[in-house]
Amino acid sequence: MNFIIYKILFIAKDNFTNIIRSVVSSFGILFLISFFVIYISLRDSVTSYVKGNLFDNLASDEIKILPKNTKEIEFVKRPGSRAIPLSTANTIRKMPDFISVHGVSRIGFTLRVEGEMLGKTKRMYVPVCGVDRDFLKTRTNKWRSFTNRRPVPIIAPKFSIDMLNNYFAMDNIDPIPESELIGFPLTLTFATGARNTEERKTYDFEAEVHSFTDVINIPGVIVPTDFLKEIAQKYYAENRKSAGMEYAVLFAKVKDVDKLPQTVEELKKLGLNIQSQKDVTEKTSKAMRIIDSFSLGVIAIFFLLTSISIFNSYLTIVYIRSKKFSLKRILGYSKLRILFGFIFESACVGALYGLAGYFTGNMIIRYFSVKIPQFLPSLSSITIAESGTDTLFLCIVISSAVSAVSALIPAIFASNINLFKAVRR
Amino acid sequence: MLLSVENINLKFGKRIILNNVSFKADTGKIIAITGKSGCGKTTLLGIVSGLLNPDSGKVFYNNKNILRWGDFRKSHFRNKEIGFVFQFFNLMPDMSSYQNIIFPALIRLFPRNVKKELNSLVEYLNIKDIINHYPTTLSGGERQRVAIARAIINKPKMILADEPTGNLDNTTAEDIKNLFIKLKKEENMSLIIVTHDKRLVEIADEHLHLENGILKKQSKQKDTKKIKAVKTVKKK
Ligand SMILES: Nc1ncnc2c1ncn2[C@@H]1O[C@H](COP(=O)(O)OP(=O)(O)OP(=O)(O)O)[C@@H](O)[C@H]1O
Ligand SMILES: [Mg+2]
Repeated sequence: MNFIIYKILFIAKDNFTNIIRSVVSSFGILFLISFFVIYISLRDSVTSYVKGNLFDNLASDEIKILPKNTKEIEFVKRPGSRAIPLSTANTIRKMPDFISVHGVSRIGFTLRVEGEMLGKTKRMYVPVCGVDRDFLKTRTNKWRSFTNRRPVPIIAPKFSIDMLNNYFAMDNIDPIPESELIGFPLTLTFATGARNTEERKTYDFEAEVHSFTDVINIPGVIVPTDFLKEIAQKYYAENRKSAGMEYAVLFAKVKDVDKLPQTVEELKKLGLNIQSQKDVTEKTSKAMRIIDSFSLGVIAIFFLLTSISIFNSYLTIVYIRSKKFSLKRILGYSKLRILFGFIFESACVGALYGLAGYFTGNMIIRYFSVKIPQFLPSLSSITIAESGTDTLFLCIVISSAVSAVSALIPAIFASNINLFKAVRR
Repeated sequence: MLLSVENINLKFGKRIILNNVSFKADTGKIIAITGKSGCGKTTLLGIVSGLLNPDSGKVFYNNKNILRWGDFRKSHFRNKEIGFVFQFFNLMPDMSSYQNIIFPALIRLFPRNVKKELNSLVEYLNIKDIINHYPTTLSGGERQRVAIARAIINKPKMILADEPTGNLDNTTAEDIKNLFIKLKKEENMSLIIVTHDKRLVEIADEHLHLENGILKKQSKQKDTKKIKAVKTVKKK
C-alpha cells in the first residue's frame, strides 16, 4: 500500500522538477492571459454601459431626436449648447406620425438647492433638467410617481449620496443610507438674471428627494418637465419674456415603422439629428467591433508568439531529455504515457500562468480604472469592473489548453524518439 | 520455446541490415551474438523487444507474435518480461541507485511492493553500500550492477544485454560474467548477449555471428580459435 504512495510521490517529484524547468520558457502566457482578462472586463463594462444607459436603449419603433450637429444628449445647458426650441418640439408633437413624444428639457434659470440637517443649512447651485414622467414611466416602474406635485420630486445622481455624507461627516453627523434619504425635504430656488439687478427673479419651491439613479449621466438633479413648464409659464405671465425652455433631446414613438424613413427625412428637413435603434446599435456594435478586432489581433499575436516560444522550448526540452524518454520507453513506458506526461506537464505550467495572468490582468484593471477617467473624462461613466471567478476558471482552462496544444507536437516527438539511437551514448 | 525469431528482414534505406534472420532462445540458456560494429546487433535487440518493427518476419514470445501487438501491450511486455543491460549503463542521473532500481516496478499502474526482492538483490549484487548514491558518484562496475538490479527487479524471463562488459575493466567484467551465469542457473533466465567479449562468448550455450545481414550459428570450437587468432594478430 505505502508503495503506491511512494509511487505517487515519486511521480509528483519527477513532474515537479520538470514543471519548474518549463516555467521559464512559458512566460509569454502571462501576457496572453492578462491581456485576455483586461479584454473581457473591458468588453463587459462597455456592454453593460450601453445596455444600462437609459437614453441609448431604443425600441424598434422609437427614434431619438437631437439638435443639429449633436451626437450626445447635453443634459446641462452650457454657453453655446444646441437645443431643440419649444416651437420645433411642438411641431413634432403635432405630426401625425407619432404616438408619443417625450424629452429631456432645460430651462434658462439657475437652480439653488437648500437642505437642512440638524439645524444646519447647506446651499448648493446644481444643474437641472426636466424629464417627462411619461417617458420614465415606460422605462422603469420606480418612476411612476414622478409627477408635477408639491413637494416637487427630484431625482439625484447616485454619487450625490456620497457627497452628502461627506458634508455630514464634516459636521460629525453619521452617514445616512440611501433609503433614509428618500423623502428628504429640500428647498429649490430658481433664479434668472444676474444678482442685484432688476432682472433678478427668484422662485422658491418645496421639494423632496424622489430617488437616486446611476443610469442618467447628469451632474445635477432631474425634475418633472411639467414643473419646469409651470415655472416658465409663470415667468412669462409676469415678465412677458421667455424663460428659455428648450429640449436637449426628444424621444418619439412612431405609429408605423414602415413609414419611419419618410418621417426621418421630414425631421431632417427641420434641421435635426435623428438616431434610430439601428443607428444606436450600429454605433455600439461599431465600437464593439473596434474593441474586438483590436483585442483579438493583440491576442492572436500574443498567442502566436507564446505558442511558438513554448513549442520551441519544449522541442529543446525533448532534445535534452531524449535519453530519458527513450530509456523510459525501454523500461516499459507506453507512447501514450510519455505523451500524456509531457502534455500534463505543460498544462500544469499553463494553469499556473493562467492563475498568474488572471491576477496580473486584474491588477492592471484596478490601476487603470482609477486612471482612465483622469486621462479620458468622456469614459468616466464607464466603470471597469475586475473580472470574477468565472473568468479565472476560463483563464486557467485557456492557458492550460494553449500550453498543452503548443507542447503537443514536441510531445509526439518525445514519444517517438528513436530509442536505440538515443540510449547508445 | 521462450523466444523464436523467424525470417526477420530489415532495410535502412537501400542498406540491408537484417537478411532473413532467424534464431531461438530458451529459458536457462545464454545466447551470444557477435558481429562487426554497425552490422545490426543492437537493431536486432530492438526488434526482439518490440521497440523496432522489421520490414517482415515474426517474433514469437511464448508462441505469441509480439510484432502484432499494440504499443500498450508491447510496453507492458518489455516492463514485465524483459530486462535490459547496456554498455553505458543508462541509469537516470537524477535518481539514486535505489530509485533507479525500483523504477521499472513503479511503472505499473498498481506497483507491487518490491522491498523483499530489492533486499535480496542488494545482497545478491553486493550494492548495499551504494544504494543511496547517485550514478555519477559510482564506478563503472557499480553502475553496471545497479543497472542489472534494475533489469531483474521485475523478475523478467529474458535479459537483453548490449555489450554489458564493453566499458568495464577485466575483473569487473569477470564479476558480471559470473552474475550472468548465476542468473541463468539460479533464476533460469534466458540471456541474449550482444558482445565482443570472449569470456561472455565462452559461457554461451549458443554463439551466433551477424555478418552482412546474415545470422549464422558458430561452432564453439571455431570461436575460441578465431578469438585466439585475433589476439595473436593484435599482439604483433
Ligand atoms: N533508425 C535508423 N535509420 C537508419 N539507419 C540506422 C538506424 N538505426 C541504425 N541504423 C544503422 O544501422 C546499422 C546497424 O546499427 P546497430 O546499432 O544495430 O549496429 P551494432 O551492430 O549495434 O553496432 P555497434 O557494435 O557499434 O553497437 C548502423 O550502420 C546504423 O548506422
Ligand atoms: Mg550496438
